[in-house]
Amino acid sequence: MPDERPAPLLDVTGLTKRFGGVVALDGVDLAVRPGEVHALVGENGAGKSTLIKCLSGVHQPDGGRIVWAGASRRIAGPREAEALGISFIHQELNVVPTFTAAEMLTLGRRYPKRFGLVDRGAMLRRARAVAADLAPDLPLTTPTFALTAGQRQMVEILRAISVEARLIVMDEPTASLSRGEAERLHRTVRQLSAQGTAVVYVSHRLDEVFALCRQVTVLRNGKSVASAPLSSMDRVTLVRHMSGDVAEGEGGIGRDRPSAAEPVLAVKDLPFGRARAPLSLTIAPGEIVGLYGLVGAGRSRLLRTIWGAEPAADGTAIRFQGRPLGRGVATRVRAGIAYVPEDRRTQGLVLRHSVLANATLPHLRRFRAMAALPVPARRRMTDFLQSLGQALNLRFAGPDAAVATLSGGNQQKVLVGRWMAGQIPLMLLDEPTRGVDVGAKRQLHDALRTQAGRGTGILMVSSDLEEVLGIADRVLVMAEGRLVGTFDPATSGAGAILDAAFAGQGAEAAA
Amino acid sequence: MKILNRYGTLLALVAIILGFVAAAPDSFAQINNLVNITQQMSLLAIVAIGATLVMVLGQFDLSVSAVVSWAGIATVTLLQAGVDPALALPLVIASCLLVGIVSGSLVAAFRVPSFIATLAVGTMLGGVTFWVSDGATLFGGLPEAFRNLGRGETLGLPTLTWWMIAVAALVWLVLDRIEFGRRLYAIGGNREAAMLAGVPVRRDMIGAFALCAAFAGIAGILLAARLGSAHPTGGGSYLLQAYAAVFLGMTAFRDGDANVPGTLVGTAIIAVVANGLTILGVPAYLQDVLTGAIIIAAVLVRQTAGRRAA
Amino acid sequence: MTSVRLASVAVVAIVTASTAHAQDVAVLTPYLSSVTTNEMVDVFSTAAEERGWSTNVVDTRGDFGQLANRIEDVVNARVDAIVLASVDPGQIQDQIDLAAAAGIPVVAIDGAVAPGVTVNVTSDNNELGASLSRFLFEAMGGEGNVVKFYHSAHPGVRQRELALDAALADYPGINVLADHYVNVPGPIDDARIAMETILQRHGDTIDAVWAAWDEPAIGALLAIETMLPGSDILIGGIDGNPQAVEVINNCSHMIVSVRQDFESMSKVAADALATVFSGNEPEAQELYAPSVLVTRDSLGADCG
Repeated sequence: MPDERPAPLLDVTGLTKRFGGVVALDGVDLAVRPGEVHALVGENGAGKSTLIKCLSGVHQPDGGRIVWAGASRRIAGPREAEALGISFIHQELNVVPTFTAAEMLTLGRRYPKRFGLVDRGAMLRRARAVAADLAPDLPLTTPTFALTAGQRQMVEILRAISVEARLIVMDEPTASLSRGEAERLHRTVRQLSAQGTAVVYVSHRLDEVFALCRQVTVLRNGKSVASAPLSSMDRVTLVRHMSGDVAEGEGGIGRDRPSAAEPVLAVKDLPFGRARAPLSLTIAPGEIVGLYGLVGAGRSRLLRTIWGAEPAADGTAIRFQGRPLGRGVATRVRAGIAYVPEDRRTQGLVLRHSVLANATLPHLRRFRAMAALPVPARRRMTDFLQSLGQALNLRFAGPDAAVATLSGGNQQKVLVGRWMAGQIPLMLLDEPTRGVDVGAKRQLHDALRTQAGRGTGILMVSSDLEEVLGIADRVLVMAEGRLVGTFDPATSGAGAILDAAFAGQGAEAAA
Repeated sequence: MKILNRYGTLLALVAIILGFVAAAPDSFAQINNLVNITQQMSLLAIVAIGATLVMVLGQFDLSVSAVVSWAGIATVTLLQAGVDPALALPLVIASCLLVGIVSGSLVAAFRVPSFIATLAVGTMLGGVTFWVSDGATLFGGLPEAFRNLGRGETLGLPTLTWWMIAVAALVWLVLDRIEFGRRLYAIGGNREAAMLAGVPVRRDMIGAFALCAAFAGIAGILLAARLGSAHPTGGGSYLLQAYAAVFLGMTAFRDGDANVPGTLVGTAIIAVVANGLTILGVPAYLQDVLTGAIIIAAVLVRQTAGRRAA
Repeated sequence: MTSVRLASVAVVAIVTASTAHAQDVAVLTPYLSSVTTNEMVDVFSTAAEERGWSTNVVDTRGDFGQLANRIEDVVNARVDAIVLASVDPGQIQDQIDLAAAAGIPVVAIDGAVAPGVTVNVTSDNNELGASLSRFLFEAMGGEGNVVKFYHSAHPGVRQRELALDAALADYPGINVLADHYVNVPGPIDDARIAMETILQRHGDTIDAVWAAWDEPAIGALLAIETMLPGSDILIGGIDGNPQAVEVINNCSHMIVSVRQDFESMSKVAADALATVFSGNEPEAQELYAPSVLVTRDSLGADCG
C-alpha cells in the first residue's frame, strides 16, 4: 500500500540498548511525522523510558539508527537534542523550586544581557511572549514552588516549545494534573500539532490516548510490537498488544491451595489514597497475593502503610492475626512480619556495610550470646548467614564483604532472607525480583513458594505481569489508590488484568 | 600496599613519632614525655570519642565544647557551694545528658539539621555558662578527692590516661559489640533502610546525642579536676580538634565510618604534633600551620595509598 | 610521608638555629591576643634577645587545659626558665609544681605569688591608688569634696581603695561626700546612673571624682556632661585604658588616669630572671613596676 503521508521527521529503526546483561531495548522502530501526535504505550518496564533517554542523548544506543529530518544522527547529550529541535517534558518535573517561571524559561539558555548583567526586564518580556499563546494567565514572577502541579507542568511545556521545537516528547504529562489542567494540556497539544509540531505522547491513560493521538506505537519487553493509526485499533486490541500472549495462570500449581482459615492480614475500610477511599483486603495463611498496577497506582505506599513506615489514616483498620497492629515498624518486626522495600539500593541495604551487617540488621536480638545482654554473637550471625547461603543459594565472598559487591540477585536474596531467622507469618514484598537475573528470580520464587507452603501469607507488589500470574494465588489490581479488581490467575488472562489497571487509571480523570 | 592501605593513618602517626624522636632524642623520646602525651591527649580523646558516636550517624554535634565548658563551671560552682562530689558529679553529667537529649530530639524527631540544632543548643548553653559563672574563672575551694580524679598517677600511668582508656574501651564495645552500636552504623549508612528494617531510629539517634554530650561533660569535669579551676570558655578549643581527630580516624580503619580506634589514632596525631613542636621550640603560629599540614598529609598519604592499592 | 619528613626537617632546622643561644626561655600565655599582654610579651622577648637568651612564645588562646599541656611540654624539654604572662598561677598550680620539682624557675608577669613561682612582677595596686589620690588632691588644691567609686570584691581594686584611705589621712582638707559600689559587668552604665543620682543631691558642691578604675570614671564623666556640663568637677581613674586616654586628651572633666607600665614590668621581669640565671635570688618574691600618670600634659593636649 503506497504511503502518501509526508516523510517522517523522526525515524528510529532497530534501536537496541543493554544494561549489563539486561536487554532494555531489543529492536525498536518508531516513525513520527511532522504535526503528528504519536502515542507511545506499553507496560511498566517495556522500554519507554529507555527509548526516550536514547532520544535525549542521556543514553547511547548499542545498535540501530536514529534518523532526524532525513539525516542519520548520533545524539550526544540533551543540549544536542535541543539544538536539533527535540524537546522533552519529563515525568518528574525538573524545576528549580525557588526560580520563577520566567527564570526557568531562561535557565540553561542564553540570558539576555545588558551592560554585562542579566537583564531581568528582557527576560520577563521574552517569557511573556512565549506564554502568551498557551498560558496567558500563568504567573511568571512567582517562584515555581508556589505554583500548582499543573502550572509547573505548563512551565515545562513552555520551556520545551520556547526553543522552537519540532518534536516534543511528553512522558506521562498528565500524571500529576487535575482534570481541568489535563484538558488544558490536551488543547495545547492539539494547538502545537496544528502548528506543525510533532508530539510523542507517553501515557497510561488509554482514553486520553484515544482522544488525543493519531498514531500509536506499542512497546513490549523492549520491542516495538505494533505501530498503527489509532483509528484502526480498538481498546481490546491495544491492551492485547501490550500484554502479549502470556500463558494463563498457573499460580497454584505444585502447591495445595490455601485453606480459608482466619486471615493473617486483614485491612478493612482503610481510608487510602488522595481520595481517602476505603480500602479492604485480606491475606490468608499460605496464600500468595499479587498486587498489580501501573506506576503511581499507590501499591508501594499501601505496603509501607501496612508496614507502619507511613501513618495509617485509621490505626485500627489494619489487623494482623485478628489484632490491630498499632504504630511503627518495630511492632511489625516483633510480630515476625517481613518487608522488602521497592528500591534495594536506597531503601533496603546499607550498601557500604558488610553482607553480615545487612543480613542481621532487623533481628539483631535473635543472635544474642546471652538473652539478657544486647551483645550479638558473631558466631551465631555467621551461622545464620551460612544457612541463608544454602536456603537461597546466596553467593558472597565472605561475611565481611561489602553488600555492594554482590550481584543484584544476591542483594535481593539478602533482603528477603534476612527475615528468615524465625517464623514468618506474613511477608510484604515490593518488587522482590526487579532487576534480578532469571536464575535468581527462579530461586526467589521457589523460596517464596516454600515459605507459603509453611503457612506464610505473602502480599507481593509486582509490575511484572508474567511473574504475578506465575506465582500468585490471587491477583489484586490497584489504580489511583483503589483496588479495582480481583482476579484468579487460573481463570483470568493477562489482558483482563492489564485492562483493569488501565481502566482504573482513567477512572479518576473521568470522575 | 595492602597494609599501607588499611593502616595508612596509623603508619602516618608512627612516622610523625619517629620524626620527632630523630629531631629531639633526649627530650621528646623520653618515656616520661611519651606517657605525658597520653595524659595530654586524654581529654580531647574523650570528647572526640563522644563525637564519634554522633559522627557514626553521619551527624555533627557542634555543642561539645560548650558542654565541656558548662560541665567545668557547673562542677566547680557546686563543689564550691559545698555540695558533695558524689552528688555534684552525677548531677552535672545528668544535665549534660539532658542537653544531648534536647539536641538529639531536635535532630531526630523534628528533623532540624544537626549543624543548626547543636550550634543553637551550644550557643544557649554557652550563655547559661556565662550567666552562672559571671564570666569569671572559678578556682579554689575544691576538695582534694575531686582534684585527684584529674591528676597524679594510678597504677603507674597518669589517672587521666586511665579515664581515656576506660571511655575508649566502653564506647568501642558499644559501637562494635552491642546491638545499639550496630544500629547506629546502620542509621548512619542508610537512615531510610534502617527505619524500614525496624530500627528505632529516633530513639537511637537521641541516645547517641545524649551519650556524646555526657562524654563531653565527663571531659569538662576532668578538665576542672586537672586544672583546679574552670573557665567559661574552657572547652573552646575542643570542637575543631575533636572533629579533626574523628575525620583522621575515619580514614584509619573502617572505611568511611567513624570508629573508636581511628579516633584514638587521630587524637594521638594531634597531641603528638602539639607536644613535639612545643618541645622543639617551634614558634606558636608556625605550630598551627604545621599541625594543619600534617593532618592533610596524613589523610593524603592514606588516600593515595588506597588508590594505588585499588 | 614525604611531606611529614619535610616538616620534621624544617622543624630540626629551626631547632638547631635556636639552640645556638645559651638560655632557652619559654614564654607562655593564654591571652596573646590581648593588647597589653602582647605588649608585655614583646618587650620581654626583646629584653631577652638583648641578653642572648632564646625565647619561645606559646599562646593557648584562652585555653587553660592547653596551657597546662604546654607547660608540661616545656618542662619535659628542660627549658632554662618559664615565663607566664597574665596568668594567675593558682589556675595551673600542678604544672607550676612540676616545673619547681624540675628545678626550672618560673617568672610571672602581672600574675600572682604562688608556691613554685620564683618571682612575680606586677604593678603595686597600692601605689596606683596612692598616685591617683595624690595627683587628684593636688589638682583640687588640697581641699574639697570627693565622690568615690570602688569595688572591694576584687583584691587588687581593694588595694587601691585602701591607698585612698591612707591618702585621705594625709589631706585633712579632703572630704568624701558620697561613694558608690560599682556593679560588674556593665560598670560604665552603673556608674553613670549612680553619678546622676549623686549630682541630683549634691550638685556642684562636688569637686572631684575618684574612681578605682577607668570605666566608672567614664560613667561619671557621661553623667556630668549631661547634667552639669559647665561645672569644674575633676575626674581621675586607673588603668589608662584607650577610652580614658582619649577623653583626657579631649580636655574633658577627666584629667588623669594612672597607667600600669607593662613595659617596665617586662623589663623588671627580665632583670629578675638575669639575677636568677646568675645564681642569685631575686630581691623579693614580688617585684613592682612603677606606674605612669596619663594627664593632659603627658599627652600634650592643648586645653588653653
